[in-house]
Amino acid sequence: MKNILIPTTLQSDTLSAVKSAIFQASTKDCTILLMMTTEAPDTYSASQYLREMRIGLTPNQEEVLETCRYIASIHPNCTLKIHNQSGLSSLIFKGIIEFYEIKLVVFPHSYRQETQKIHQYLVQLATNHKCPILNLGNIECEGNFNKALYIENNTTKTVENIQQFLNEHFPLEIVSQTSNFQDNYEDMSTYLNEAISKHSIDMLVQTRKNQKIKFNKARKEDFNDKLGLPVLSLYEEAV
Amino acid sequence: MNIRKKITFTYVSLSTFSTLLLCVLVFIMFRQNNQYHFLKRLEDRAKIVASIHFQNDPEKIKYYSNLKKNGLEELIQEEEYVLKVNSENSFEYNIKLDVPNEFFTHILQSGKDWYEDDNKYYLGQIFTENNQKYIVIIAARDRMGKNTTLFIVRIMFFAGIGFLLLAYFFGRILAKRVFFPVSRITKEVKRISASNLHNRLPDVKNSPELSDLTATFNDMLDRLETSFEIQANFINNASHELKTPITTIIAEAEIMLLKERDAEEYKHSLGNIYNQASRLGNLTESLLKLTQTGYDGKKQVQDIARIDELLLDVKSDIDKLHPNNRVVIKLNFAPTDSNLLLLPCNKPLLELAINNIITNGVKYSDNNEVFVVLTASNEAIKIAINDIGIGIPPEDIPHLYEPFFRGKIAAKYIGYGLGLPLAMKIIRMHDGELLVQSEQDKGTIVTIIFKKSNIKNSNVES
Repeated sequence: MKNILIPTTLQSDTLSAVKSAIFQASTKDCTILLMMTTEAPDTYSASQYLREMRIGLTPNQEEVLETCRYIASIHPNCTLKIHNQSGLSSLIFKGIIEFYEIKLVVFPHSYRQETQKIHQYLVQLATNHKCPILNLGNIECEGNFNKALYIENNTTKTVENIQQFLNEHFPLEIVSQTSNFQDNYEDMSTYLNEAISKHSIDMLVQTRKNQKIKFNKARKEDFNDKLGLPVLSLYEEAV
Repeated sequence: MNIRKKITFTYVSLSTFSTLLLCVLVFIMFRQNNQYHFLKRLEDRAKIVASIHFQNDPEKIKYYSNLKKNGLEELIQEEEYVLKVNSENSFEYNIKLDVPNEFFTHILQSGKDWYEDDNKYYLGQIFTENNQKYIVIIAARDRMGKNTTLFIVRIMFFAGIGFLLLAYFFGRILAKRVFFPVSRITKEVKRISASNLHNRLPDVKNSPELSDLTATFNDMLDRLETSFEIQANFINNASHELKTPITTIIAEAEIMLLKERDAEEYKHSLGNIYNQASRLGNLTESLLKLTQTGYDGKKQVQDIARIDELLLDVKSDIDKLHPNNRVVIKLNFAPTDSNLLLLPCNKPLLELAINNIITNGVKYSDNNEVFVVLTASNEAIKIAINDIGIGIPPEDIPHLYEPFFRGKIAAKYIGYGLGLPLAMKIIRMHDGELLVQSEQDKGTIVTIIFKKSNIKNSNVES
C-alpha cells in the first residue's frame, strides 16, 4: 500500500504528476489523492459557509480531471480519489496525511508557482512534514525516473544513508553527487549539465530541514527552475 | 606590534591589574583591622577613665597618671575628658576639645561614637553614675597603626615593582612557549617550495588547534602537490594512459584489415573500436579537467560508483589487452549490503588508477596470478591487490611515487614509471590511502583504503 497525495489546481501538468505517481506505485496497490484547496470563506453561519464554498471547475479543469481518471483507470492497482479541502492548518494537513496513510507528496510544477496564500501555505506545510516530497519540473515527463543526482547539503547524511532510504521506498539509483550549488550555480552549471547528460540523470535528490513558515513575495528559484528536473526532497531526520 | 609582544604585554598588564587589586584589598583590610583594634583600646581606656573619675580618689588618679606616663606610653597625645550631661541635648563643654558638633549629638543619641581627624582618633562613650550621665571622651594618635600602614605600603610598592619585572619575564617565556610550535611551523613551511612539495609538516601533539593548523597546511600541500604535479606531468600522463586504448584500436583495425570479412564481423569490430575510442575520449576529458581544475573535489559533480562494479569493469578492460591474464577479483568478502560499496568518485579516473595498479601486478609477475580482494565495512572500503611478482626492493619504496622512477630490477620490463604516481595521486584525491607492502622476489600487496569517516568529514566541511 503506497498512497500518494497530489495537491493540484488541475493545470495540465497534473497529468504528469499522476503519471509519475503511478510509476512510483509500480505494481503495488495505491490510492492517488488529488487534493484541491480553497480558502475557507469568512462567514457567520454554517449554511452561508456551504453556499459560499466554491468547488466549481472550469471546462479545462474538468477535462484534466477526466484525463486523470482515465489514466488511473488503465492501471488497475491505482485508484483515484478527489479531495476538496476548504481551509488549511498544520493539524488538518497532518490529519489528511495520517488518515489516507500518505507516503509521498507530489507537487506539479504549476502548483508551486501558485501565488494564492493557501497554496503556498500547503507547500510549506508539506516541507515541514516528514513525508518525502516529489517536486516535478517544468518539463513534461512520463514519470519513469531511475537515475538520480544527489545534492548534498551540509549534513551528516552520506550517500549510503540516502541510497538505503531510497532502496526501501523508491526505485531510484544515485549515480552522481554534488554539493549544494544554490549559491554558485553559474560556476557549476557546465559540470552539472555534463554529468546530467552523461549519466542520463532524470531526478535530483536532496534533503531538507524544518523551515519557518513565511510568505515571501519573491519566490526563490529552486533546483527545479534551474535544471528543469524533478526534485525528490527527503526530510533529513526521516532518512 | 607582533603577537608575541602583545601576549607579553597583555600578560603583564593583566597580572599587574590583579596584583593591584589584591594590594588595594589588603591595604583596606589592614587599615580597618588596625582601626578596629585601636578603637578597642580607646574603649578600654575610656572605661578606666570613667571608673577613676567616679571613684574620685586622688590617690588612684595620681597612680593612674603615673601609670600612663611610665607604663602605657603607647598612646600618643592622649587626652581624656569627662563631660557631665545636663539634659537631653546639653552638656558641659570643654573648650580644649576641637571636634564637630555632630560628634556630640551622635554620642547623645546612640551612646557611643568615634571620629578621626588627621590620624587622631576621638572615642566618646556615655557612662551613668548615680543617675548622672557623663560623656567620656578619649583622644589619641595611632602611631603604630600609621607606621605599620606605611610599612605595608612600602612593601607593596617594592614587591609590586619586583612582581612587574617577574611578570614581564614570565610573560616573555609564556609567549615564547605558546609560539614555539607556530614558529616551528613557520620554519617548516618556509622550507617547502616547488621543488620539495612532497614534504609535510610534522604533527603537533597535545594541541588540537595547532594540529588542526598543520593538518590544514598538509591538506593544502596535498592539493597543491597533486595539481602541481598533474599539471606538470600532463603530457606524460596523457601519453601513458592513452597508449593502451590506442594500442587496442590499432590492433583491432589491423586484424580486421588482414582480409575480407563479412558485415557482422566488421560491425563487431567497429563496436569494439567505438568502445575503446569513447573510453579514450572520456579519459582525455578527465585528465584535461584534472589539469584544468587541479581537482577541487568540492566543485565537481562526483559520480557515485559501486566499487565492485568498478573492479569488474577494470577486469574486463584488462581482459581486452591481456587476454590470458590471471587476475581474480574476489568479491566473496564484500558485504551483501550494496550500499556499503558506494563511493563518491570520479569514475574514469579511479578506474584508471586501479587499472594501473592491477596491470603493474600482471606485468611484474610475468602474468602470474593477481588476486584482487574487496572488503567493505561501515568504516572503510578496502581493496587489496596481491601479486606474486618480482617485488620491490626496500630502497626503492620511498621513490615509488616519483614520476619516471624505475626500480633497478624492473628495468627489464617496458614501462615509464608513470602509472603508479598517477594512481597514487588519483587515490589521494579521493581521500584514499595507498599502502605498498613488498618483499623482493616474493610479491607485492598494494592496499587501497577509502575511509568512510573521511568521506563524511569532507562532506561536513563542504
